Amino acid sequence: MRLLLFNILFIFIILNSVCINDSHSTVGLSDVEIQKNNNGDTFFFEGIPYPLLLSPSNSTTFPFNLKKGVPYAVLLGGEYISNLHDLDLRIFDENLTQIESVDSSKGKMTQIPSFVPEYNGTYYFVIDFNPNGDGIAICSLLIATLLENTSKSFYLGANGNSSSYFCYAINVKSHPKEKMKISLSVEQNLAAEIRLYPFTLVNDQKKFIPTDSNRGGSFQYSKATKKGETLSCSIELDQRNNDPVFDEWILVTTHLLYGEGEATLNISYEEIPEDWERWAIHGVVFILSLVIFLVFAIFGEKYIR
Amino acid sequence: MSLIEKGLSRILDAKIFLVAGEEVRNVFKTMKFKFLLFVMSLPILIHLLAPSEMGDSVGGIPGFFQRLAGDTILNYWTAWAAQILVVFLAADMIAGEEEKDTLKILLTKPVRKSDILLGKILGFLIYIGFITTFVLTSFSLVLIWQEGGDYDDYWEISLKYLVPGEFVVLIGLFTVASLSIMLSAGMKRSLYAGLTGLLLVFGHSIFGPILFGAESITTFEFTLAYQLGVLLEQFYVLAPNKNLYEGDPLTAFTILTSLNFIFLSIALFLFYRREVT
Repeated sequence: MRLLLFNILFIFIILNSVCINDSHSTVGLSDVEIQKNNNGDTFFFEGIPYPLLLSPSNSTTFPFNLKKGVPYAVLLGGEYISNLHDLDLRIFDENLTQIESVDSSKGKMTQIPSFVPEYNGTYYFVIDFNPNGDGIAICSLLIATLLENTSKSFYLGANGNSSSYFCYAINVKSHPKEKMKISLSVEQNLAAEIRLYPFTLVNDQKKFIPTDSNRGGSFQYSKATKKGETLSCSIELDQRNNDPVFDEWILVTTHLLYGEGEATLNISYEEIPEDWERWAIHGVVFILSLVIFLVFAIFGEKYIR
Repeated sequence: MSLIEKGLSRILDAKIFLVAGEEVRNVFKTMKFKFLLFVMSLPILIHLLAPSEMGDSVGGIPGFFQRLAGDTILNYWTAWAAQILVVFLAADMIAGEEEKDTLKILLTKPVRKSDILLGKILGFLIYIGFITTFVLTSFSLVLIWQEGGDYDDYWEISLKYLVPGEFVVLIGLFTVASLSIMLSAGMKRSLYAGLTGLLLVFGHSIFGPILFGAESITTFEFTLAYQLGVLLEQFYVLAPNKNLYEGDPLTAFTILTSLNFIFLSIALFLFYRREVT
């Protein structure tokens, strides 16, 4: 009888363990060719130029080589951007014809959530410091590939600097009931870090800092690999709870810690079960075990000899 | 009489509180209890004698308390030293009574077997609850005094962080204890029950990660320590900008409580079938 009871207990523990590791349907990954990020040009592609100082009536231009039909998130931000600053963004094509313009009001962050180029080639991104603004802004531009499910390999550390970012933007609202799973694998001679930067237009205070980590950062989440390690982390993009941290956009950046080598980033999504499903499953397990206990406690003595 | 009426009258007749009171009185006199209280109080003494460590800690004194108390809860108050003592205290509950020949006397009294066991469990919860409250409250007071905190810090820590911390320590220690109580109800000697309990608790923590191929013991999800971390991180910020313990706190809570209920049901079953000679 005792052996039977211990067997039941063992099965119960195993079932519980399976319950913890409850796996949901994982969306398949799409293959993307390996892209080596070992020269200055590709470093700035899908990346962040070094920030520049701008004062009222000044402007600066960043040229980017973009691919036709690929959606990009274009974000203007910087360090210590305050309500004094009034920064606008304009995009010109290779014939210097203005094709997009965002005139945001004072202190607002400027972004183009999805810019889809119509040809392969250079686009000019101009940041204007509107004369209505005041002060000096350290600002830059971030061009990020809009990510869905992806697996991507890239080379980190060849430039010998610590700003080797690879940036991806994720629109949280396009994954309202999902959990984003990020994994980063690095080679034996490389250690890197995943950083997640939240930002939104709703809250003016949230801004990204497109500089290296030495300037401090506003990232909400980071996790570092050791050499040759694979790490994984998951973030719930569940808008039902109005998560105050990741409420509109997430920038995923990979940041070189030390060494040099190839890193592979995987991003996939899992469905988050409805709240009532979770509560129902957990409630049934809890109530069932409580009822068993109460039955044993109240009536057991009479029937068990 | 319906089944519900029978159940209700059975609950009203219970002498659980009588047994619990007796258990608490007896345990307060034992060396094991005093030693457990001393061991649990050691971090308070260490912080009382050590210099201030806070510096420019994020979140001020409440933030520092969360990180320091969180670390102490997971790595000390629910870790191996406390677990060993709790396992042996709980193992003494039934098997110890039989060793001392007092179980026979208890069974001759007009008290049901279930009341004896449940009363002892309630008594155990009371004195572990007392220790937990004492150490966490003292810890917070020492920290506030040492770092020069004010009444605002005291109220914030007392209202927001003490009860969740106590809850996590209590559920952690009680999970280990309920396993030990189950073994105590099924074994003749308290030493055997205690050693088997230790073997199961530490065997799972050490061999579980190896069997499941985990990278390290600290990152292995299916351990008590990890699931307590998941629960605690729901209330405390253990590290700025990152989650140290990823998981679902609802699942952690359900599993730990249902495991406790199952262990205690088996303990009751074994105790009902126990013949005292």
